[in-house]
Amino acid sequence: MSEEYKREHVFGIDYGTSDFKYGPITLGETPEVVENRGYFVDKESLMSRLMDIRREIIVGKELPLFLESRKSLAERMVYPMKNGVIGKDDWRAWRVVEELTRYALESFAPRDEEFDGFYLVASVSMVAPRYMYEKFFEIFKKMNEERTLVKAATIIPQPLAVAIAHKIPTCVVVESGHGNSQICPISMYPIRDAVLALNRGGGSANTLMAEILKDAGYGDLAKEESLVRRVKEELGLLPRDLDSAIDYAKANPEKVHGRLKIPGTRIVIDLGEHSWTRFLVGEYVFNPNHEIFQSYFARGMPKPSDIKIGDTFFYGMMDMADAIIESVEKCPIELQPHLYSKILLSGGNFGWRVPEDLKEVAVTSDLKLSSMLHEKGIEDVEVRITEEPRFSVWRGCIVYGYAVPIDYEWNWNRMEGWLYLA
Amino acid sequence: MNNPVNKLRLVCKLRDRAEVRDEELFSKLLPEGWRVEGRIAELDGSIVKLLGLNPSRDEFMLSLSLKKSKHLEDLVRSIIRDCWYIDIYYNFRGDEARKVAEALGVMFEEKRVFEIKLSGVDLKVSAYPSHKALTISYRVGWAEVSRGAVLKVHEKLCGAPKSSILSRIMGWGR
Repeated sequence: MSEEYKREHVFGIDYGTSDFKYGPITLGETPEVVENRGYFVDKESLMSRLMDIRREIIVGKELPLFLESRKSLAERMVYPMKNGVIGKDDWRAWRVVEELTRYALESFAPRDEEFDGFYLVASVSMVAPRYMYEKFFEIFKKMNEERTLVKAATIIPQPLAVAIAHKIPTCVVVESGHGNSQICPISMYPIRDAVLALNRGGGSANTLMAEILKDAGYGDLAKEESLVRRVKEELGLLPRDLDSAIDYAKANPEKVHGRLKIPGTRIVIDLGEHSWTRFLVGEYVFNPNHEIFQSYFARGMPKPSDIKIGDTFFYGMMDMADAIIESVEKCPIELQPHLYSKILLSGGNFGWRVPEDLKEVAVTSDLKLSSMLHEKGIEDVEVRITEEPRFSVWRGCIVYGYAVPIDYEWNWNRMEGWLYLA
Repeated sequence: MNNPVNKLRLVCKLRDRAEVRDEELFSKLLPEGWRVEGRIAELDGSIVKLLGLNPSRDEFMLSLSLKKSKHLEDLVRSIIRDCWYIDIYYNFRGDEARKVAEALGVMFEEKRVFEIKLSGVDLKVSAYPSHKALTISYRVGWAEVSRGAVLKVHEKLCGAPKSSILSRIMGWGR
């Protein structure tokens, strides 16, 4: 098996908390994306038997075609990577991971005889414990039961993949997805002792957006998660400074007015006098400690809590700048200025847009974080949003797969190299 | 060109190991006119990025985003002087994938790999209809490059530059 064969058959998978991104090296810059979830079909139901649905789990693009009532949705839909960590015995989550992996590989596996499996580079949360790596390799091995889909596999943490994609060996990667955010200093390798996780991500902003929609009279729509996410993406804003932004919104209601027509439906969402709340959505991701959020907590909105998953502690309310400082301060002092000088923001949760006429008060994630760090006395900060932050992990997987030589075998101490499975 | 060309990738096999640092590779290989900044170079809106070198440093991977077909031609002509061969990879999605499949006369109904000869080079065409994706790759050496195969293939896949509507009305198109 040659380097040339590997180069043609590197396959990247990013097991994100919300989205599952996958595809071979030949896809260029953009992977395929499906939601990281699986639906367990009620195989005993008469309809399943009549329709001859033989599969136990449905994943991928056709999943919505199999959905039943909202009640069964809650019971049967599984989001395996919700926290980035899967319990050792959470067999339903592992089954979904297995099915999604098979779905991804089968989609692109050539049928010709020359094909002898992909060189699979999988990327998982920085906080994934060792048993998850073991379980993933077991699943990859299972992929070869019918025909060889995986020649060899390797697993890298998501922040390292981001650093690789950008060729920056010394940096802090802040990877913020749907379920959580990971802050990971890297100096050639991730500095594991300094990794810090927040129990906050795009999902938290969705929760707040749903409350805002309820207050604006759209309580019925607030139950539809995908719609709430869309409204957040279209109307949510990240303020430079929350108090000033609210004052500005109240003095210039016409400029901040939030109105959205949902294409293909008759739904029009008009936030009207509640339009100033658009600024709360972005702020909440970066700093949920502002007193204005207390009224939402008091009315029952769940507060991001501190939780422990596996061996990792996820902070609920720590603001993002504090989290970066705490993480960097666990690294050698000599290294700290270099880390602050390259902070990379990756993940869909950093894609806040700034409308042209609101540039005065709304900012992008890099500017927000720079100013938060400046306020806390950190100088010479350079914060950068990765190009297409949703895909930077997948791109890193592809570059890593291309670079690791075929004879560099997996080593459990270093957690790198290829584990040959076929 | 009607649309900005899809991003494409090049994998270039060097005749000798690269003895320069990654950041210096472009200055050594690219033709005049490209504005080089480390791993990125730009010319009239076309951008080329160095994605990486292999560990033995005798092969490197580029991503290209082109505004003009001519930029690809010039780039390849310059790089091939130091290379045994260059593998060129295209990726098309959605309607574009279907149109290119039609232009090449390949079926886009099932997942399949086709081998096609075009302008003297062997194209490997992989169709993934369920993802509405089509990937195409081929290898060129000095012989293929010098007879202009790269530009011919590119124009077949991405469309030849069209003259402006004004040119056509005024009969300036050649």
